[in-house]
Amino acid sequence: MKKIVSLLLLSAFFLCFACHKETNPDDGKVYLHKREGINATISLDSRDQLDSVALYDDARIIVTNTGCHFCKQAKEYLDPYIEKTGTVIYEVDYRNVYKDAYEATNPESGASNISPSLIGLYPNRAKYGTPFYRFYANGKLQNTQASTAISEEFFQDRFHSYTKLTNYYQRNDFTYDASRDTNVLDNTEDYSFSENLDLLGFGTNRLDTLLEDNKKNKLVLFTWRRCNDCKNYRQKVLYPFLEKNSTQTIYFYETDGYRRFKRNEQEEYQNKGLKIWSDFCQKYHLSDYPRIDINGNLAGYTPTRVNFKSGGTYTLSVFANETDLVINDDRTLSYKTAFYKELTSIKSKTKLRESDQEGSSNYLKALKELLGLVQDKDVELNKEYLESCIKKDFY
Amino acid sequence: MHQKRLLLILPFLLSGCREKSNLKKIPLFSFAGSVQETRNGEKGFLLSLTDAELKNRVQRKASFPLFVYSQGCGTCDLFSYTIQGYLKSAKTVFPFRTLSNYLLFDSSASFSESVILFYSEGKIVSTVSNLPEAYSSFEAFSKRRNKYTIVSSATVLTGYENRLGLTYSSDYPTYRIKTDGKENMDFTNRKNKDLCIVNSSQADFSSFNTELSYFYFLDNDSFHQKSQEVLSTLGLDDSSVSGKNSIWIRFGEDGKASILN
Repeated sequence: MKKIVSLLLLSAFFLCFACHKETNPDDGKVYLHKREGINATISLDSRDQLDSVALYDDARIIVTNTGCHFCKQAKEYLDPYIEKTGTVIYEVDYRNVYKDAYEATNPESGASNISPSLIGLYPNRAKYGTPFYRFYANGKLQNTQASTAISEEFFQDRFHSYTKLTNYYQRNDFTYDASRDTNVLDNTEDYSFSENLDLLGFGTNRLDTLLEDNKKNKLVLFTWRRCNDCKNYRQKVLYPFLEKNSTQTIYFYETDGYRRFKRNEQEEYQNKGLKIWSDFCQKYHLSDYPRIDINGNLAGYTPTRVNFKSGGTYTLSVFANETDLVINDDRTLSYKTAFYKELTSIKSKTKLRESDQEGSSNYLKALKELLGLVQDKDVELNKEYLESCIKKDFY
Repeated sequence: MHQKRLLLILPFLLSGCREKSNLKKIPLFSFAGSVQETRNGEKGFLLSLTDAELKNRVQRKASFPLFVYSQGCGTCDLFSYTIQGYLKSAKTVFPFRTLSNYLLFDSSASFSESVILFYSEGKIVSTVSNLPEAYSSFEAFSKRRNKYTIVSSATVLTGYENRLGLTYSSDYPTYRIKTDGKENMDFTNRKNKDLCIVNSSQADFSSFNTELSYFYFLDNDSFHQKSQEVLSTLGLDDSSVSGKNSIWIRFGEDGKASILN
């Protein structure tokens, strides 16, 4: 009997560990970003836009329904809350977007061949009604909140128990759609041909406005939501930094539109995409750590931080993106090119055998070791860079 | 008594756990274009399928693997090294499609990440997701791949257009099949070998003998002219194969070619 009890206890112990949710550092809260000049939700009008946010961003989404009285009422309180805090709350229409996402990703609705990362991302809403809130981080649904209770205190107390608002400001363009009382993501007129491609826009008006005033330093992170290096940077460097320096403001520009556009299958779009990404990189100095694309255009990497300094000068820092993997004379692996030169002197501990080929288990073992060692040092150097930007600001 | 019963049912339980493997294995063809020299050294290349090509393969019940690449940062995952190692070693045709373009073909698919699909006679028989974990090394990739595929002795002679210039990611460079007259038509060691000239948009893939020594895939537009050229080079009369979508040729002991169909 004792054995059975201890076995049960042991199983419960392991189950508790298995159920532990992965969120962001410290307190398990979902870290949220802000936008300046915002006073309503930002609408995600397609399944692709919803997936992009739910899978790759740390975000809060309100699901509403046309004709839903409580949704309308909730938004009346939500708008002033958004205006006051600058917080980004995405809005998804249940009938047009959420239902599709639910049906396509839930075995109970008859969907099959579902990618594991999508299972459980959009649970059935039947038990909640609308509106309800979903909290996403690390590509997973972290929490759901459903309540018709509405007051400013509701948002302050209930939201804040799940989330942490940071001074991390997005500078991508968006426009207010008064007919729906929501903001829509930008689709710049110059690139109207991309309207059907469901991309985040290419607009830089809000970024340029920020940079026009060069009396004060501005630290801007150029990032790509689908890039693991950017995710690592956010979790290992950025969030700890914002936690430690809660009054410090960091801006970011999400490059998803550019990066997906240049990967389009149609040759014409690919060439355009490569060109506008190259122009973008040169305009905002990402190309100072250069990458020559396949058409010979000068481009850059993400994540890159540019500290635009008063007086029009700037400094740059790039996380990860070491290139030119080489096998050294002692059969260790290292990188020949890195933004921080000291990273090129780091070697894998494992030595390759003569018979090891690219992608073989011993090769990947050495590569993983190298990546780990390089990343640890890279985190340290990038933290130092952020700290140095503040110090320089101070003087 | 209980133990005896357990012993009796154990073989049934164990046999129930075994995977049914009456699956016809998917042939992989050797192809010179799958490894090419680039300015960054030798690279493995994937075959970029167009929407029409993929549709045609499925409709014609073809068997092939398909790497569906979710647009993302190729350098951030280790799978690019795994597949590079595999391509360089196996030098086989490995079809490729970006996820957004794959969804145009199969809108009901719910993938958000890169996957490898195994099509057998036009149907998906296996989907492998979480690729960096599932295929943690080139050896693991070859081993699991062998469960569904077999490296055929057939070689593809068709020409290709290097897509490195317009690739989705230099970690996954691709090529497209092209009939531009630069095909490798070297039959020096052709003794006792077969050649199949195929109109790839019309032919019935399910009837192919994959142990054929050479395959020459042509598209609908070039099939007539190109196949005539090959037949003429080999000194063969094309009248018997007029209107056919695949031409089967046998090289005899003396290397002399004859049409089989």
